[in-house]
Amino acid sequence: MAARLEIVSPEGLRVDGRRPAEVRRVLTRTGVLSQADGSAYIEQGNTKCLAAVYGPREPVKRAGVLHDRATINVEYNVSSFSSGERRAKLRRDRKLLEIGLMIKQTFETVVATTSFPRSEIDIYLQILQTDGGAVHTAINAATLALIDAGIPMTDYVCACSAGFVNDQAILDLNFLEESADVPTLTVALLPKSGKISMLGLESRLHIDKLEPVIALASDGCMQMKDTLDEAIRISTRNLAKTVLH
Amino acid sequence: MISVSERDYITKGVDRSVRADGRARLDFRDLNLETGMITQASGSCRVTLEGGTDVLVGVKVEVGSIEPDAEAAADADDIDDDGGARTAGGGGPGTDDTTGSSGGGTHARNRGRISCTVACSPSATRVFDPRDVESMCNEYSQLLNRVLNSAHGGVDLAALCIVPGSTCWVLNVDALVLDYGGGLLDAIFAATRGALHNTRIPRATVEQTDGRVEFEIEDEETEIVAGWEDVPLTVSMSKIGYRHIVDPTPLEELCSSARLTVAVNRRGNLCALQKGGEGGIEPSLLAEMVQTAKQLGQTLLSRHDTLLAAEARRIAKGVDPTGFR
Amino acid sequence: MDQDDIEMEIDGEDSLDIHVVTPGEVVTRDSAFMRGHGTYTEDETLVASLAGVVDRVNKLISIKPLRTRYNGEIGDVVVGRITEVAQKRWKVDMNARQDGVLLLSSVNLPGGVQRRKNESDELQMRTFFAEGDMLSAEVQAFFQDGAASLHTRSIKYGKLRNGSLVTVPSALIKRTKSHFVTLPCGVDVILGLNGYIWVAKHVPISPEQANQPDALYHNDNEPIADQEREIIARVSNTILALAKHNNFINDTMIVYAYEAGSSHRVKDILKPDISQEIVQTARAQFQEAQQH
Repeated sequence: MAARLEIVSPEGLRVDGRRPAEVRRVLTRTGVLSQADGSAYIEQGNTKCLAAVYGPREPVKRAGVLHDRATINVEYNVSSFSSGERRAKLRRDRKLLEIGLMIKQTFETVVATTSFPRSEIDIYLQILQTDGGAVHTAINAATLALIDAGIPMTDYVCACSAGFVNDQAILDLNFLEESADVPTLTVALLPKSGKISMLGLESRLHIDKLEPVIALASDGCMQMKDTLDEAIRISTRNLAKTVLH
Repeated sequence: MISVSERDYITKGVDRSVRADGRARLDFRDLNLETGMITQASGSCRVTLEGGTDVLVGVKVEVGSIEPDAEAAADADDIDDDGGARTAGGGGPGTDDTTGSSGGGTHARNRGRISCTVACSPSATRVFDPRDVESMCNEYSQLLNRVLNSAHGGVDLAALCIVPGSTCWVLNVDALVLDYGGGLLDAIFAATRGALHNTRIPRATVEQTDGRVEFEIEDEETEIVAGWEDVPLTVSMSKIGYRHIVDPTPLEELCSSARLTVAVNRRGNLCALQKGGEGGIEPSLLAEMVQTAKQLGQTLLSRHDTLLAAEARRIAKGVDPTGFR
Repeated sequence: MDQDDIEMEIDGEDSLDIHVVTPGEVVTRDSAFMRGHGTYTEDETLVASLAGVVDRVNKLISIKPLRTRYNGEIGDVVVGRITEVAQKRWKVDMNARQDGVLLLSSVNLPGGVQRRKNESDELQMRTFFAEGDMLSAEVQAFFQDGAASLHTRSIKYGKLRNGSLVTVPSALIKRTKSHFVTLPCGVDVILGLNGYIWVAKHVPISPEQANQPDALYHNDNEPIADQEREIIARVSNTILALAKHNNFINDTMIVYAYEAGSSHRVKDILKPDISQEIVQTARAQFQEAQQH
């Protein structure tokens, strides 16, 4: 039996050298897929996610069409080669469907769907590599891709995860930390209003510990907001320069 | 979807060897290749074509059991030097009977295997019916599996054996189609060969003590996939009118009644042949197409090797791949 | 992040002084301004819903995104593909937010074909436009749900032949006087504002032909010589090269870029270094012409 891994050392360092409230290095890029209306790529530490957005466009399925607004479809997929152990692809994995639905509901609150009746907006999220935090990385990638596609939103959706271990809250858990039975909370925040639009908890967490974990996760979301916003500003400015009028 | 006049324009253009993008019938589009961007995989490669096709292949190496049942089917078309070594006596996996497989070469119980899957990201499949996508992925997965596990597949499967008769390396090759712009099958093979070139297998040391065979995996020491250079590439030719073209665009694919895929390796061997599409191909045309494919295959392979050599240099210098950045 | 002062720039086009905003950002707190495209109101403030450049026209503030799906205006020239034949109407893929609608009553029926009841059945309708057909049309109106209603009631519109389709981002097509262009090299280009561009051999149509039942809706191409094919391919690739480098597309730019690429083989125009060189040369030429 291996000794239980010390997630936070007595000196206050985590296995990858981070401090408890430190987010991993984030790298973003938009407009990475030429065929999509909007696309984005995010690396958060070693977690890599690709997002493609199509729409608003003519719906494929008649059944889901709404007469007064656009329907949002989210497909969340994890590549077979993405994690430490190869996962065989299960057709229509229920967990993946559930995550897709959760993300869809999150974005329905911010995307101005009433501007586009009878059309659909498709968000395709592909996890290429996962080292923990796949869901919140995917949400952030989706936000960037929607903005890249020029789809109006009332606010950003910024997400991050936090957990509680060794008597303290830690931010942005990696794979090792997530698999070490650390209760992990994934939070999606709308920065302008400060409202939480999504909350997911994987295991049990004592009610007393909930507040500090949510607070830390929200802080992480605000940090993500700064990172995402900076990226959008730079790419917008660059695009504005090349499209001569 | 295509109009009658576009179909006519394309067909006549193909006949005159002036395609809609100015290419001649046997011209390929430029191909971009990059390896190693999925750091947690044992190997990876992404291939993009000018025109949108985008394929990412990840290889994950794992320790597996040599399947006893696989022998019967696999050995059926194997050249087996051992003759009668397949008879009872060689038990299932985990046995320590290693006597029946000395030397062995191509004996099914002395080799590892490659397991391939092709999947399409939903962003790539908008143009197709979902059932067509599924059958296309199945068809391509089967072809990859057949080719790579066959005698001419390139990869030295015997070298993947860890403990003869019981344990071996399994190379899981997963191809993900990120975007579609025509010429998909050839791009998948190109990305697969690139990913195998990039794949590193941990070293396995085998010890025999007191009649028990044990093996140890050392993550720090890795080896290349022996035989990757002999992995074939495919040249798919689409029949349009009375002619055939390579590397079709989506509209050209709509005009094509039949497709012939030829797998060729760097020795010039024909490794596989597969016909797709509903139309027929005249036998005389078939022979011509195969000959053309063999020649084009050599050109493709030398281009591929040049790109891979450049990748190897980049990696040696410690420069990170661009990936999606 | 939030700005308390109004920072309005006149004509956000000037690359030195563009005002970039992102979703959720306050654009102005002055309630005198009206909200235009890409903004929404919250309490008394005007907030951006898109990432883009602020554009102020008198009291109207809107945000121009740099990339977006085609959203048409009445009078726009568009190029589209028939996706469906329905009761007295066709549906047209225009790479827009919804498919466009072409009503039977909005097309020219050749003289001699009477508007009888049975002409609206689908079999008869397919003799005009069938699934897959390419056409040019004009936006005449919008339905309540935002779908465009198209018409082909002028002789310059209708079924497209003798060439091929090039697709570019719609934001790169500028509104000009004429979207039907004949280039000096002898090729016709129809610049659909929706980003679909038709490049074809120049084939003039005479008014007399317009009344022949077959003339408007037949599917036969004219004979096209190899050289003509090459020029069509060259123009197509030139347009794609401009699009790749995010350059706007109109007849002038196409001509400049065509000339800049004339020394290269047609199929090489899309190679990254060559296309970059061509676009840069064309841009320089354009800017020089602007100064005179």
